[in-house]
Amino acid sequence: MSIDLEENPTVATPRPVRTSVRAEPSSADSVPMHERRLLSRSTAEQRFELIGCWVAAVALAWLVCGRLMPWHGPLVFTVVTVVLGVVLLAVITAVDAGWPEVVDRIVTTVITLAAGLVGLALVSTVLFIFAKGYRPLMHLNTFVDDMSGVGPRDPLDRGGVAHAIVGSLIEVGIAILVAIPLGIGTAVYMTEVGGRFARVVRTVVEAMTALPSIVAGLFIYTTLIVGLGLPRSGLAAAMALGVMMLPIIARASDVVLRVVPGNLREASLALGASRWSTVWHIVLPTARPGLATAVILGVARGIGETSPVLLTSGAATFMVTNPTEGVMNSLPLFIFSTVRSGEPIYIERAYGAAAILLAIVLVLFVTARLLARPRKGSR
Amino acid sequence: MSTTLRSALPEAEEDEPRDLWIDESGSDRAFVLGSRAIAATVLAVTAGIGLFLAFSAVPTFGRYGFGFLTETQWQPEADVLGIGAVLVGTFTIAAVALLFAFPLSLLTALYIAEYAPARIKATLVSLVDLMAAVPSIIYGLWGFTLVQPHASRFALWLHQHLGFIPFFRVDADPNAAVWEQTRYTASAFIAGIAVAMMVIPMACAVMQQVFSQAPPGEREAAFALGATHWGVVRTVVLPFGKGGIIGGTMLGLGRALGETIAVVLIISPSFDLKVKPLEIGTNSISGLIAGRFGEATSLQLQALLTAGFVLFLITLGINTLAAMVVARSRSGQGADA
Amino acid sequence: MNTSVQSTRPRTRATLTALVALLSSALLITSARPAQAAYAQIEGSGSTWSQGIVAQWISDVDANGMQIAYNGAGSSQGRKDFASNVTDFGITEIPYQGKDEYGAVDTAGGREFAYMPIVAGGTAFTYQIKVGGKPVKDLRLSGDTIAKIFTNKITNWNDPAITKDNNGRKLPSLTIVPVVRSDGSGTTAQFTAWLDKQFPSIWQPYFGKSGLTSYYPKKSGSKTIGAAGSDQVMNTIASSSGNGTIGYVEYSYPVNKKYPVVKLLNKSGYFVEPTQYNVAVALTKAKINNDPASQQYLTSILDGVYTSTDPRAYPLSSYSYMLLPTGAKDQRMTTAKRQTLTDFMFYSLCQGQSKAGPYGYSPLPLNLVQAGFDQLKKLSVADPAVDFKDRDVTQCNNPTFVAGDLTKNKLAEIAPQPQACDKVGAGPCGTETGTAPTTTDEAKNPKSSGSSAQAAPASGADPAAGEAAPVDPDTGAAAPVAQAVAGEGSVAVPTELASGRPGDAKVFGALAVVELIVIILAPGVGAVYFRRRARRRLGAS
Repeated sequence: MSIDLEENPTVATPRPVRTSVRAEPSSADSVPMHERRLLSRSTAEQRFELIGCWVAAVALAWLVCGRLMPWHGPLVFTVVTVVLGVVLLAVITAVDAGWPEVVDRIVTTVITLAAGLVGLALVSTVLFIFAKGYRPLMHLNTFVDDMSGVGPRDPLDRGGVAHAIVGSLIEVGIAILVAIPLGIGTAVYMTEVGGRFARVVRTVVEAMTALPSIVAGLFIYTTLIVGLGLPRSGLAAAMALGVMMLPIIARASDVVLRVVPGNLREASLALGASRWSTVWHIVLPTARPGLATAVILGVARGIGETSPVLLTSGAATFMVTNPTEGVMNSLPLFIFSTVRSGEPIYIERAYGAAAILLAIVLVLFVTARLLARPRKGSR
Repeated sequence: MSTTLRSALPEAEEDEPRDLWIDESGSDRAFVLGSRAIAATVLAVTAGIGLFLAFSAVPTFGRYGFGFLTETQWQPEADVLGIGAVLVGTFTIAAVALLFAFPLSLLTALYIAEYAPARIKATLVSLVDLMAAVPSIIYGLWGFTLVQPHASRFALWLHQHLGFIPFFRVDADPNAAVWEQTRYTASAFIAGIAVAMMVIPMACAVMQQVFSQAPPGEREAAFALGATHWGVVRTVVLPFGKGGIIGGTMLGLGRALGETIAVVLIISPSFDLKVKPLEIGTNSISGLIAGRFGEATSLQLQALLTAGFVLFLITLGINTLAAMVVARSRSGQGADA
Repeated sequence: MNTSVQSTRPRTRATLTALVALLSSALLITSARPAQAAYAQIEGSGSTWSQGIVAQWISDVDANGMQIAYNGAGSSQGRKDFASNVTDFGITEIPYQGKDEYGAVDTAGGREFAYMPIVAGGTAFTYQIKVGGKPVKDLRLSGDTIAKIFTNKITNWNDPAITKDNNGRKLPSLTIVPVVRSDGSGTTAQFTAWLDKQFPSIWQPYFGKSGLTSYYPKKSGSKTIGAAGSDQVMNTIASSSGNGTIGYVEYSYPVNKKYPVVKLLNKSGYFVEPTQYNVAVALTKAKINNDPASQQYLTSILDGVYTSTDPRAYPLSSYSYMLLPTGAKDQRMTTAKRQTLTDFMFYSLCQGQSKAGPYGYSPLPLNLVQAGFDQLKKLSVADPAVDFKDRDVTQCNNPTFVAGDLTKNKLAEIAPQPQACDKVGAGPCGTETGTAPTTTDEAKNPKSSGSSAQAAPASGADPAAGEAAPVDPDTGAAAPVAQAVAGEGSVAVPTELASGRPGDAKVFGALAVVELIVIILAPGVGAVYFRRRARRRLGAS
C-alpha cells in the first residue's frame, strides 16, 4: 500500500515527454500511405531462393558423396547437404543484401535446422521404439501374461510383461506413498514456516537432488540388503526409488509453493484464518496444478529409472504382487535384461515392453499437462 | 491525486508493524510441529545418505590412500582398486554429450524463444519437457540399436579425415581393406550421443526460460535501431541469457555425469586411461557400480560407495556452481533453475 | 489429491475409480494362477556359463508350480550373493577360492552349503571372420595359438601359426579382437586355469603371476575388449561390427546363435568340437573329490581332462556346480523353499539332463548324479518336513546311464571318433561347427558335410560353408590340385590385392570437390564482389 503512494509522483513526471512523443505520429499522417509490409513473412523471392538453394545443395551433395569422394551413408550425405546449403544460401543472399542480412539468414537457417534435428531425434526415438515393439503389442497376452514357463524361443503369443507392469506400478506406488507426503510436507515447511532450520533443510534437499540414481540404489543395496539382510524385493526397490524421488519432488514442490502470490496468504490471514487453514485452503489449492505436475513428472522419472531397481529388486519371471516377499520385476529392468539376451524374440519382447513404458510415461505426461492447464504460467 | 496531498502524508503515519503471530491456535502449533517433524525426517534421510557415503569413504581412503583417485585399474583379486580410469571415462562421456548437447540445446532454445511461430511455442515447450520425461533406458536402446551403426561409420569418417588430432584417433588402421568396425563401436562417443539426448531437454528448458525473459524494451529498441533478428539475439537476448546458458549447461552436465543405464547398455567396459572417445572401451563411475556391485565384498562395496560419493560430490559441485551462476546473472533473478 | 477443492472433486473421483479398477484387475490376474501350497518362490544367481540350460529347466518346472528366479550375473556374483544370504542358491564353475594372498575373501561367509554338480559342458571359442562377405565356419586352432591370441601375441588372422593349424589355409589380413569377460566369471576362471596349467610360459608372464583368475587381465593398448556376461560376449561377436572377434563362452551360446566354434587341438592330435560326446569323453579323466567329509566334496580337478589322450576328448571341458544351502538354521530357507529346490534339482539331475545335449551342454555321468542326490538329500536332513520320497537315481532317465554299471558313461562309450580330416596335418574337413549334433549318427556324418566325410570332400559340396571354388584368381583357370586342397572350405584367400595408394583417390576426389564448388559459387561471389566495388566507387565519387 505504502509503495503505491510513493510511486505515484514519479509516474506523474514523464507526462510532458509523452506528449512530445505523441506529436510525431500525428505529423506522419500526412505521409502518403505505403502498403504495410508484413514483418514476419518472407517474400516470394526469398522463398524461391530458399527452396532453390536446398535443391541445389541436395544435388551437389549427391555429386560429392556419391561420385567424387568415398563418403557413403545417409549421415555424411546429410551433413554435406547442410554445409553446402548454408554456403549457397549465404552467397545468394549476399548478391542482393548486405553482410548483416547474410549472417541473419545463415543463423536463422542453422537455428531452425538444429531445432529440427532435436525434434527429429525425439520423434525418431518414439517412432523407433513403437516400430520395433509393435509386434508383441498385437498380442493380448503381452498385457495379461507373465514370463513364467516361457522359453527364449517361444513365440510372441505366449508370455507377456504383465508381471513387469504390475511390478513397476507397485514399486512406484510405494515410492510415491513415501515420497509425496514427505516431499510436499517438507516443501510446505520450507515455504510456509521458514526459519533457520528450514534453510538448512532446503540446502540439504537441494544438494541431494544431485544424488545420481545409481548411488541411491547402491545405498539401499548396502544398507537394507547387505547390511540388514533383507531379501531383494519390490519394497527395497521402492525404497531406492523413493530415496531418489524424495529430493526431486520436495524441491519441485518448493519452487511451486514459492510462486504462490503472497497477497493470497496475507488476505487469508487478514480474514482471521489460522496458518494451518491458510495452507490447507489457500496455498495448496492454489499450487495444485503445479504440485500435480511436479509429482507426475517425478513419477515419470521414477517409473523409467532402471539403475536403482537393477541393484535392489532382482528379476522375477513370474507375477509377484507382494512387495515384501521376494524378487520382483519391473518394466525398465525387464527391458534391460531381455534386450541384452541376444535372443531375437526376447529382444522383440523388450521393445514391446519399452513401447508400453513409453506409453505409460506419455500418458502421465499428458495428464500432468492437463492438470497444469487451468493456470498457465504457474508452471 | 494532487501533489499537495501526498507530501503531507509521510508525517501523518508513523505506526509500527503489528506482530502477526501472537497467539497460535492448537491446529497451528500442530501444523508447525508436524511439518517440522516431516522436514526433520527428510533431513535425516537425505543427510543420512550423504553422511553414510562420506563415512564409507573413510576406510577406502584409509586402505588405498588418495591413490584411489588416480589408480586406473579395478582388480578386486589383486586388491588394486582405483577410479582414475573411470573418472576420465565419466568425463569423456559427459564431454561428448555436452559437445552435442550444448549447441543443439542453445539453438533449440533460441528457436523456441525467438524464431518459432507463436502458436506452436507452447507445444514446443511441452515437447522439450516430454523429452526430459522419456526414460533413460529408451534413449539407451535408441543409441544402442539405431544410432550405433551410423555413429560408428561417422567415427571412422572422423578418424580418416581428422585422425591427425589425437582426440579423434582410434587404435586401428582407418584405411584397412576390411574395416575394423569393432574398434569404432561401444565407445564413449556413442554413449555420449545417447546421454546428450537426456542433457538437451534439461539445458534447453533452462535456456529457453531465460531467453523468453529478455527485456522487451531492449529488444524493441534494438529492432527500432534497424538490427536484424540475429542482431537482436546477439546483442540483447544472448548477453541477457548468459547466466541461463551456463547454468543450464552445467545442470545438464550434472545429469550426464550420473547417467547409468544408457551408458551400460552401450559401452564395452574397460579400465584404460585414455581420451579416445571414438575407440571402443570406456567406463563411467555409474557403469562401474552397476557392473561390479554384485560381486563386491564388503571392502569393495565401500570402495564402490566411495566412487559413488566422489561422483555425488562432483555433481553437487557442478549443480551448486550452476545455481550460483544462474542466480548471480541478470536473468536469474526470477528463474528458479 | 487431498489438496483438491470442491470443483475438482469429480475428477479426483474418476481418477480414484480408475486406480481401483487397475489394481483390482491386477489382483484378478494374479489370483487366476493356481495356488501351490507346497512350493515357495526361490531365487538364485551366478554363472552365465550354465545359464542356458538352467533357464530351460526353470521354464520346464514352472508347469509344476515352481517359481524360480535365476539371475545370470557371473559366478563371482553367484558365490558372493550366496555368501551374503541374498539368494537361496548359487551356481558357479569354480569352488570358493578361500582367502587369497591379498586378503580378499572368497568364502561362503559361514553359511552352510554343499557343492552339487548340475551340468557338464565345454568352454568353446566362437568367432566371426568374414571372407568376401561370407563367414568362415570351420576354423581350427591349437591350444598354443589360442593362448597366444588371448595374450595378444598373435594379433592378425593371417598369422602363420593360424595358417599352420588350418593345414596351410590362409585367412585374410584382419586384426584379431579377443573378447573377454569384464565381470567376475567362472568361464574366465576355467579358461585361465587351463592356460595356467597347459601354457604357463605364455600365460604367466602375461598375467604377472601364476594361477587362475576370475577377472581376465586386459592390457591397455591391446585390441582385447571386455563384455559383461556370456551373453554380451556372444552378442559382441555376433554383432554386425564383430568381424575379426573371438571369445570364450559355453558351447550352448554359439549353438543357440548358430555361430561357429573353434575346433580345438587335443593331446592326441585331433581338432575337436565341444559336443556333448567329446565333453563326456574328456570328463572321464576328471578327478572328483570323493571324500564326503571334505568341504570341497564333488569338486573336480581337471588336469587329467586337459591332457586326455583320447582322440575324442575336448580339453576345455568342465562341470558347473550349484551351491546348496544345507544348514538346518539357514536364515533364508523354509520347508517350502527346500522342497522347491529339491524338486527342481530332482528334475534337473534326471530328466533335465536329457536336454543337455541339444542345448550345447553334456549330461552328467551317473556317479556324479548319484553323488548329487546324496547332496540334495542334505536338504531333507536339515528339515525333515521336506519330502524326499521317490526321488532317487532309479527314477532317472539320463542318457549317460549304463544299466548296472555306475562308473561307466554311456555317452563316452558311444561317442563317435573324430574324422580323419580333423587330424593335425590333414583336412580341414570344411564342415560347419557349432551345430550341436544330438544323435550319434549326426555326429558321425555331419549333415553339412555332403556326400562324404573324407580328408578332401568334393569341392563345392558345401555351399553353406561359403566355399570358394578352387579357381586361380589371376588366370581364371582351374587351380592345380595342391592349391585346391588349400582352397577348400570357406577359408580361401589365395592372393591379397594391394589396394594401390589409398591416398590418391581421396586427394583427387577432394580436389574435384573443391573445383566443383568453386565453379558453382564463382558467379555469385563474383557478382557480390563487383557490385560491392561499384558501390564503393559510387560512394567515393
